Amino acid sequence: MARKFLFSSMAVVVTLAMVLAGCGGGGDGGDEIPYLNDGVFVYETIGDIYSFDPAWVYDTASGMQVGMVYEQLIYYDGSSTEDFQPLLATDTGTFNATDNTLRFTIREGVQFSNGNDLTPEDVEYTFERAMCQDRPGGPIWMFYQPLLGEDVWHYEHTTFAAITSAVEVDGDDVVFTLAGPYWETAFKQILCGQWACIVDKDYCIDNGDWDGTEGDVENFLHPENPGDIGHLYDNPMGTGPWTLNTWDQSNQIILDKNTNYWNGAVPFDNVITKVVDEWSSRKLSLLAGEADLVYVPASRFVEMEPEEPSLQVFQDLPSLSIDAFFMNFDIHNSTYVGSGALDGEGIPSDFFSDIDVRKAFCYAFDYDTYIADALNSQGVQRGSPVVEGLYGYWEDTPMYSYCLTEAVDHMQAAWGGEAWDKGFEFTLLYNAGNLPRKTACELVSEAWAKIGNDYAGDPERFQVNVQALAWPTILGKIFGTRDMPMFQIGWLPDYPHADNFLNPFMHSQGVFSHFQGYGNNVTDAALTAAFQETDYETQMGLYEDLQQQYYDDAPGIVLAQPIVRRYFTPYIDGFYYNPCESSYAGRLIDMSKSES
Amino acid sequence: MELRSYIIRRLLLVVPVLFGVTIFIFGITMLFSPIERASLYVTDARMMTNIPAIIEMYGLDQPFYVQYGNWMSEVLSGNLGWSTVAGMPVWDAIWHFLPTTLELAIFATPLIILLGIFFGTKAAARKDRPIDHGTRVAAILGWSLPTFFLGLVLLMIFYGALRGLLPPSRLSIPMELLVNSAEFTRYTHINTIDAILNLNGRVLLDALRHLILPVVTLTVVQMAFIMRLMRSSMLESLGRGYVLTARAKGLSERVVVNKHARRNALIPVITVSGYLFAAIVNGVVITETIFNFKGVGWWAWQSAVRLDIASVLGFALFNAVLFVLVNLVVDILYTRVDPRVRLGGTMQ
Repeated sequence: MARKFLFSSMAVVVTLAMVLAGCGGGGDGGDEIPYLNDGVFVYETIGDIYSFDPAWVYDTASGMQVGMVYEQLIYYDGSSTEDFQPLLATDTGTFNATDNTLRFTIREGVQFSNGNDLTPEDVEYTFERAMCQDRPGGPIWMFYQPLLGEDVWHYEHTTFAAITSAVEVDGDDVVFTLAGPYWETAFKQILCGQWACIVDKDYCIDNGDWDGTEGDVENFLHPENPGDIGHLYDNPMGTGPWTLNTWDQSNQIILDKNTNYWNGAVPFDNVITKVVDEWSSRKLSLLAGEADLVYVPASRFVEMEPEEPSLQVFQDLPSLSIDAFFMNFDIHNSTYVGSGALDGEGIPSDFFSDIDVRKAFCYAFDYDTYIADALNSQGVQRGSPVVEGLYGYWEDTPMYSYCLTEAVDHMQAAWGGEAWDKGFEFTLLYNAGNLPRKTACELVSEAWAKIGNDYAGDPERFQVNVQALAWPTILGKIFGTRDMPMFQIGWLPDYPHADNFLNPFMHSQGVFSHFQGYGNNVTDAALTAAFQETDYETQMGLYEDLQQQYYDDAPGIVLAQPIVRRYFTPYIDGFYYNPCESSYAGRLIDMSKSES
Repeated sequence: MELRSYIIRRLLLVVPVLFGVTIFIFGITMLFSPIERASLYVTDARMMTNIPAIIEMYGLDQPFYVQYGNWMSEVLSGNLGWSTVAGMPVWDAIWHFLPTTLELAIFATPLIILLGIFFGTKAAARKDRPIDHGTRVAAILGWSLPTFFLGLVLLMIFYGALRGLLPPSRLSIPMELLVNSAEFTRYTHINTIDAILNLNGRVLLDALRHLILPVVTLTVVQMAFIMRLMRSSMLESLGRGYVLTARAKGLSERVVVNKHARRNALIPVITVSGYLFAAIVNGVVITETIFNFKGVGWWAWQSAVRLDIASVLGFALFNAVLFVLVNLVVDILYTRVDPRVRLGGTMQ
């Protein structure tokens, strides 16, 4: 008996010790973080990059690495998304309205890290190479459209001669011929992207890349996999402050200081980006001083609060992204619409084509609770897809508010009163594991249950069921089968311009609006007119009208613009935030690390 | 049966095993519609408008036997496809992740087996005494503890509370810079072995320091099973007549246990040990993720979650070959441990 008690006690004590240790947390807020790895910047994040080829990369992780090894002709000036500073060019471009050309003088005395001199021919080759590669789903439509016209999305929509004519060398200058004068601002923003980083022509050709001729295009056009394009995939050659030492796929990337760098001292001997999926490991690395910066998802901000005295925290940073519900105007052959009729057991396929239905759903959404619960209060409600920080943003955009009486009024008016009298039932889907989207769906469901109970006296009159599916399945339904009554998806900027956000949300062929069945020729013309307007005040007025129209039409429920943070150790100086900066760490060339 | 012909016969079994495994997995992927499988190739929303073109490009609407035939013809020409997760060909991905997993397996497996045999033997030899009870409690705790919980607790104690004493990842930052410099030559990408081959004690010690926590995590959980199995097997062996005879002849208890009883008790442990090694090489996903030791297990998990079909199939092929080889080695070991066992499955 005593022996049994002894060993049972041992088991209990050991288990308790484990539990208590596990609850101990990462450390006492205010503990000094040790200064480690002098001269090395260590960043821990999730997700590896796809490629080092500027013409391939379209994601921020790859963009961050490319932006440290390569450079563009111009770049954003500090925190601005509308002002620029020269980089490999000597100025921010001279526009000639008579022939719609944008001219850049290429800086002399700049070398690639292999010692090759930067020439205007390298710049010309960079853009022609990208347009002759045109990898599926890649970023190069952003070269085609400004240079060759809005009808050109792929290589097949144009000719080799047109491509080579659009980018020409003229002495020390490179001249871009734009499709219209209205492209000047947007094209400069595009030139700040990682896809516009300048490659070494001789290095590329010497290593088997496209040789610059039309006959060789077929060997490089539309590569399927990143590794198909050859050398630049994992052997970058740029003018940037760092060079690639090692890319250990899925593990880490080590960059070395470029000893040939033309633009002053490089602040870090090495930049190491480590792929660490486990949040606890990343947090402990930051607090142990092993990492100078780690990726902190918004859901962990509250957990980081006790540690903030030890860290350098940059808060209230508006990210250029937006998430929204899109109401499907024409639901195809769906199992998520119940009976498929407005009989209280389902909804018809055109249920959301009624404006009062859409407005009712907009008023029935609890935006404040969504921001508080789903985003941990790290978000700001917006009234249209154009978020703060974009060229064309209208700060007085009207927004829907959570108002159940308004929701009731609109639903009572919808479908001649039948929607209210008979009720409805359908299923909302979200991608499994995405808690903010799950929360949003549940808020919709709960609101209509409350309306049914409090206003109709029937808690089951308006039923919105919620279901999770895998992300690939969700994508297939949004863009393939189109059988979801409403879908949630978000948008990130290609370039910080209202047109880049309004098109996917409002154009009849927009990436999202097309698949929800919203959009028409009139709106398409309005979008084109706004984009092509060259007078600034007039253009801003046109964008205001479009944002007002989005509110009036209510084709979706615009959720919130996320607010983000950065957590550095105290030893890092010089960080400033630009929402268009693909580097999570900011412009490392402008930053430093020291113990004092 | 001669050893060589036995080995050849067993290796030929790989072919039907590979065939069966790949047909099974391929068949499961057919449960997804062509649109769903096409969406796996999408990395940007704009690509979604090209779904029909993607389906046609990859033949995703072709009959099962056509798609399987196309894939098999690529495999037979040496192309296992592209691993989206790893960003390299599937064949290269296997060899990219394998050294990390092998390093864990090389250190954890002997520890698990030897400690399991040792404590299992002790527990059986001293049945119902304190050491037997102690090992039982340890086994229950070890087997019951979720790996992720144990791993995180160890990390919080030895990396968090003790300020970086035993860190995650494979090497520290200074050693990472060293092994990726011209001063260090990579032979196997197993850090401990490469450190020895480079005669670099700093890298070796750093690598060993980083191995402690993941190896301990694996050992605590897996040793429990070996320990209990060895105990049961030893108890059975100690109850046999030849043990009684050995004791009657005046042999010391130590000789009776270690020389006579234990050898016979090892057969089931050998079986399990073989599969244990294969399971670790197969990949221990949770341990690899928590301690940032990205090996085959992590790759397989990510490939499954992200529906990287080419990687999943490549991993299945790798696994099938691994288990056939492990089974072969285990069967050969039987003949060494028990002279009554003959190759081909007969008993003398």
